Amino acid sequence: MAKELKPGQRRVTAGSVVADLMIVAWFVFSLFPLLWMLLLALKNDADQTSTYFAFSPTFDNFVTVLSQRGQDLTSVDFGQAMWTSVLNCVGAVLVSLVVGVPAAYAAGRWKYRGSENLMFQMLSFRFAPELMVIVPLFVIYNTLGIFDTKVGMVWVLQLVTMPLVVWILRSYFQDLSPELEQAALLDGYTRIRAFLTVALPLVRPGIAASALLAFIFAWNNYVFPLILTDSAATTVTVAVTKFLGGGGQAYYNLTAAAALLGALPPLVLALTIQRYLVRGLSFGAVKA
Amino acid sequence: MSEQSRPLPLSRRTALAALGGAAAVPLLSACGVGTGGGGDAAATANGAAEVTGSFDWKALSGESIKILQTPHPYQQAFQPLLKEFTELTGIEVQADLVAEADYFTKLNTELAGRTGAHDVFMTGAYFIWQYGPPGWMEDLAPWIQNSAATSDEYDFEDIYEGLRTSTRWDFEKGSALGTGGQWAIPWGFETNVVAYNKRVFDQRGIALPETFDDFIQVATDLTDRANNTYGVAFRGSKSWATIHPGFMTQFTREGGQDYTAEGTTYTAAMNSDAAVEFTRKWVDLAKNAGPTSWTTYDYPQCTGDLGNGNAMMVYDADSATYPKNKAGASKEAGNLAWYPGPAGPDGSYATNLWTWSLAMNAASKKKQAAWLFIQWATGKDAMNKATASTFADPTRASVFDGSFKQTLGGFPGYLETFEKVIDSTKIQFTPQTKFFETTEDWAVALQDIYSGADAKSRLDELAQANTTKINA
Repeated sequence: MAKELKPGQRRVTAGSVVADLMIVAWFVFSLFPLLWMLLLALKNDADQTSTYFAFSPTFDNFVTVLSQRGQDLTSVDFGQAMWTSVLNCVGAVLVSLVVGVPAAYAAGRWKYRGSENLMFQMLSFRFAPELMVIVPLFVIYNTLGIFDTKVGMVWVLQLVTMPLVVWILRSYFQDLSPELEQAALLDGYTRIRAFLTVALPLVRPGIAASALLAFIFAWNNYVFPLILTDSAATTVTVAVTKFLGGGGQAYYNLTAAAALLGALPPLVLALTIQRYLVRGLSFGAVKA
Repeated sequence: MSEQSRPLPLSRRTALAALGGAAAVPLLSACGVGTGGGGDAAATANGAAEVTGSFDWKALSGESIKILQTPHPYQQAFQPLLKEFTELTGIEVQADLVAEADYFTKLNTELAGRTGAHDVFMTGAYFIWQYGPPGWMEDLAPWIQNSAATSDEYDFEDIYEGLRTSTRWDFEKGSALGTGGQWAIPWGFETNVVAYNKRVFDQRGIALPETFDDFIQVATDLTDRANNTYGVAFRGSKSWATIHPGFMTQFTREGGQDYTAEGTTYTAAMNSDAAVEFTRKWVDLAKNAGPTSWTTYDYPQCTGDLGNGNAMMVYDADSATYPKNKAGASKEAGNLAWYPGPAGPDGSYATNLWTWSLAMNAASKKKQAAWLFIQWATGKDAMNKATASTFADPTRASVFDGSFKQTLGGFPGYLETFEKVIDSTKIQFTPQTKFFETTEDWAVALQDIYSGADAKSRLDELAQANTTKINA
């Protein structure tokens, strides 16, 4: 007779061992680039392409990235670029939430002729390669005087964040029973008050998840800041690549250090709201 | 169940039409800008004639300009000097850097947009063939010739002739370089020669090979796959940039030619007997004595292998290899040396060049200030200071003979190599507006031959396709 398992225990079988090994292999495979980047960030110039694991680690690259020398190499203050990215992305996510949450609520609650087309159009912002629209955007931004400004970046990042917020949250609102709001309406609530006090609190995990995803997508965007900013509103993704050097003088170690520093804010944010994220992403997953 | 509101009077057809219209706006805008030709006449009119009176560095004191650059030793050498330009002219300079991999994407977008966002930009000579015909670049010849705009001390003729002609073209089919407008001023450049591991050559008593066949033999002898060392690194990736350094240099020395021109009609000649024989040898060299993943190799991998002691030679830009010889920069720092590479059968040291040049945006609204900057940056004084602090081939003979030679002590053979090839150094390609497309196709053909395709038939196919393309 098989031994009874305690709660949390599972039976060890050949299949489960193989499955575990495959998961470990997958983790090693998927995390190896990060490990490689960390190792590279700890190497000096001479070691950066000549060694694999045996070298004397140094934190100088992180210091250089944030120092005047880093600024001399790239003409950009990396710390300032990080801060600019934070402002751009927080601004973009806030605008997307302020506009996108009511839009998602409306899209989830009402159907009318063309409503699906409207949603499809919003999603289509993500269809076209960014480079396809970048020339007209560049001209428009210069004409309007918002080239190389944070306002300009917050605006253009709506192309990235808004569809994400609206599409994710629409499914949340669709999953919510409308009877809750109808009960509130019967109690004399206005439609806006019912939305704010009844529906909205129930989709908070979804808002957190979509906001985080939108933040990460905005943070990692490269083409828009590459073309639509120069030194004043340079973001972290563009600043990182400036450490690559050129003309035979490559600073892979500095680039890796800068990329690791650049990955910290979304990582910290993700860990901070991990609870909401897991709940938010699984919400609506079993929708019929 | 969702609530239903009153349907909006919006049919699918109307919605799609509206969406189609909205989507067309950016597309039409994209088509409307940057397609060359006429464009905004005011923006593209040459501004040199407007400058009159006597030359004065302070003429535009209080002005500011923006320049677009990519990180490079030349750029880094000039960066600390920018404040001297501001002291001299009273003009503030904002220098924006973009990583090399994306530099031309950004530059292309900016120039196509014709906003004049940056007044001055770094460019390579080949890019003039693409950016010049649409009218995106200012012809600098009228500026050079205008004594009110240009200092008496500028001495344009001091810039090496091969470089001056490489940045000059009239954009007419069949015309050679050196005719037409001066679209950029060479600022820094590199010759494509061989850097080698002198320590290993000396240890093994190997003489520098004088002919291409000897070069192949030496490279093969130096290859020891078991110990992860190989004879020679050169580029092999799917890019136009694979063709222009070592390949084009040796191709030309061996008697190869990319195109022949008769009137305004070109005929591709990369399938001539000499070209096929050379190409076959080059690809075999890559197989037998090159890096094992040759088809992914760009210059950072080549120079990295040289610095790490894996590659015994590199056939690429001289200034791409020198950083590896700086103390602490690589494992083999201090052990590297240079020589011109093998001569052709007729003793030719024809060498292809790359030049980073400074060009003026035709849409700039501050052309005189932009010209003052270009004039200063490519002038003797600034170039002397830049080359004294950082190692980069100066484009002026007086600077090379002056301050630059003093920096060459730790770089054996560099000076001799430079002096040997400089008179035969120029752009060895035929200028044509489909350069990047057709030259990338050439690199793809090399990869196909490397993978087993027959050299003669593959190059015939390439030549036929390229002849059609560039005459279209």
